Amino acid sequence: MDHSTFLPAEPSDVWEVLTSPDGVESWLGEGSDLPAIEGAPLDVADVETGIRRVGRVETVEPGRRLGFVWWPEGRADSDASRVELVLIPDADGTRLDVIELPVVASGVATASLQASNSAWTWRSAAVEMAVSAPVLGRGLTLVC
Amino acid sequence: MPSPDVFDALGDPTRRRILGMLTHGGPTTATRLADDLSISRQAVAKHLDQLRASGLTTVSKVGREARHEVVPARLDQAAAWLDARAREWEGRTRRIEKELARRTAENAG
Repeated sequence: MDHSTFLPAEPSDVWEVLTSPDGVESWLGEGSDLPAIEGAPLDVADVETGIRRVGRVETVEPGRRLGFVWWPEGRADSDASRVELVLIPDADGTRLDVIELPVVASGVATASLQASNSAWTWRSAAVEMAVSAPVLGRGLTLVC
Repeated sequence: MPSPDVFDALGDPTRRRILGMLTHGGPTTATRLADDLSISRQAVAKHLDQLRASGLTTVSKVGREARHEVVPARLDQAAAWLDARAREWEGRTRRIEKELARRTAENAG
């Protein structure tokens, strides 16, 4: 599984899509609001899952990093997760790394959640899980 | 959603190696894991404590030995959560690519 995606565009162009009002609507869903302002609330009409997500922007490093916590509306206690989008210049484009991990529910209420030191990429963990899956006999399928 | 403890526990490469060894090799002791990993038994014990606290492993007494084993359901739950998020982000990144292409075409035109 690889959530490092290569995009054939400069980081500044990718950033514009990620954070401009019409860009946000294009990848998250019409009516979505994800201001590139640390501490700002976000409100996403998530076209991917069909559910409304709310949360808060945590990290804004223009052209480099966008971090936020979000959760399905009304489920902050049980379903909050932290997302980090990292843009890395790569050859003639940009590598976009995405990490999403659950966060401790009680911590969501505080404005100063720190990026987890133990953040791990889907790639490393999922590959190992995929290796383990046949032994577990659970028919685990991971997107590769 | 899996407990954040699970992901914290999985966040360390040594703990992931221990999980892999328990998965493939079956239940074993901290001493054998330390030998196989070439690290101190004390260090292994700390990792095992965290794995056990997260529910990814359990420990049982067999004679005088404390044997550690993986809890497959717990690992599956974490994998399923990751799998679902991965699929969602695949969709989102496809839309980001599409929007970039649209803007490029618009600027070229």
